Amino acid sequence: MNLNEMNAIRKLKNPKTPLLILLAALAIFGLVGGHDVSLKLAILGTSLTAAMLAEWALFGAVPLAVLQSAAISGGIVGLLVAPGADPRFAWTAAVLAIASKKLLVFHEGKHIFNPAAFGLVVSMMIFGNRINWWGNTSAVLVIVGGGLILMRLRRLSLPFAYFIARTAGIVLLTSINAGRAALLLPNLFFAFIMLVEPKTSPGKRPEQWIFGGICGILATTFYHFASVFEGDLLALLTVNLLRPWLTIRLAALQDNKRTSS
Amino acid sequence: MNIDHKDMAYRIVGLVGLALLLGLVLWAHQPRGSATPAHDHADPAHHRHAVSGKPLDAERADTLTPSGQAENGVRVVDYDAFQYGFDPDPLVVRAGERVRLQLKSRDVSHGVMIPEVDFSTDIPTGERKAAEFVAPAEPGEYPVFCSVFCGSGHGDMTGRMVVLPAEL
Repeated sequence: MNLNEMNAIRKLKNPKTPLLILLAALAIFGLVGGHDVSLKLAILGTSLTAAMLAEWALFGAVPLAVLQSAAISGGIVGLLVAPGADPRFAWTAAVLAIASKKLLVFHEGKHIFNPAAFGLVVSMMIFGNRINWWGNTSAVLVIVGGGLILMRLRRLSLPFAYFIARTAGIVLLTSINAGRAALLLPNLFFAFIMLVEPKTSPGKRPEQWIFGGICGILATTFYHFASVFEGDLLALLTVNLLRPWLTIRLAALQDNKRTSS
Repeated sequence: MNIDHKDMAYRIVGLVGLALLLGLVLWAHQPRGSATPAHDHADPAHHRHAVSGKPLDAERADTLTPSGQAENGVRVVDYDAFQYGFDPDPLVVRAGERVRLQLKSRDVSHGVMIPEVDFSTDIPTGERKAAEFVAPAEPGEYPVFCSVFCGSGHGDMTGRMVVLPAEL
């Protein structure tokens, strides 16, 4: 495969533009179908501006791809922060999200934490919980749009693993039957958009199942035993931190298997 | 060629998984009655076929008193929803009585769903609204859910409705 072909494949697999379109569609859906339109626009505008400015301040000259990535982080923050929340909350979350990409990195150069989740969790620690996930208004749009993007990225195992683990946790801990648990759908926006960020989640399928499964189990544990407000986000940061260890352990297991066979 | 087959298999399995999830979502969101239930709730016996609650032991029933106040044969209860629970929890009512919930959200938009009595209504932020249903005829403990996505703990937002035996 020559360089041109490799670049073409890389472009084909670049999820940034379709993800931005999906986020924009969710924003429109949330704005059209709900209340507080001006407050939602204000939050979205604040977080997008803050993310772009932070990107420019921290990275200097900003190529289009980096700007897209800032818009994604800022957009996710904007779609999660409750309309009417203190603008400083959204501002801080977006700036911290971008800063974490630059400052908190593994030696391989990839950032450690999902930027939006990191920014939001730290902002929650400073200002208290101001998240209501208003952008998660259309489960159908999230599944269809997010699902098709993830199929192309070969990352569909992640949301499925999370979904199964989280639903099983709800059934076991709330002692309701599986049929009724379907009424309490886990957070699909989180599963299809946040959990799957390519730089902070594993690429190989067995790792994806373990990563998504652990995230689902941790989120359930945080909600039920620690009464954490945003257990999903905290679970994501935890598995982000565990990712290199997980990769090493699985690689060692595969080596052992190969040696023994 | 082998890679193409693998790729195709991955796509098919992925599409089937997405279709199943989509079906589940659509099924979960289909209307299950409303604040004005479709069938005749004036007849509490109507619910005898569909008891899905936990049985209530007599000792426990003695320690509970009905929530709210009885006004002209209707039990009126101030019922609040918040991230991630309901207040009062449990909601205590008597078998077969008409219940009026004065609903209020303390933070973001929520919903209240009590599948046993086909009751489902949303609670927009900042608004107080009333909705009525008739309690099941069978004493027991029934689940209460939030029916509007309200945050990542939405899946865990459950409450209980305890139905005490009807007063003689």
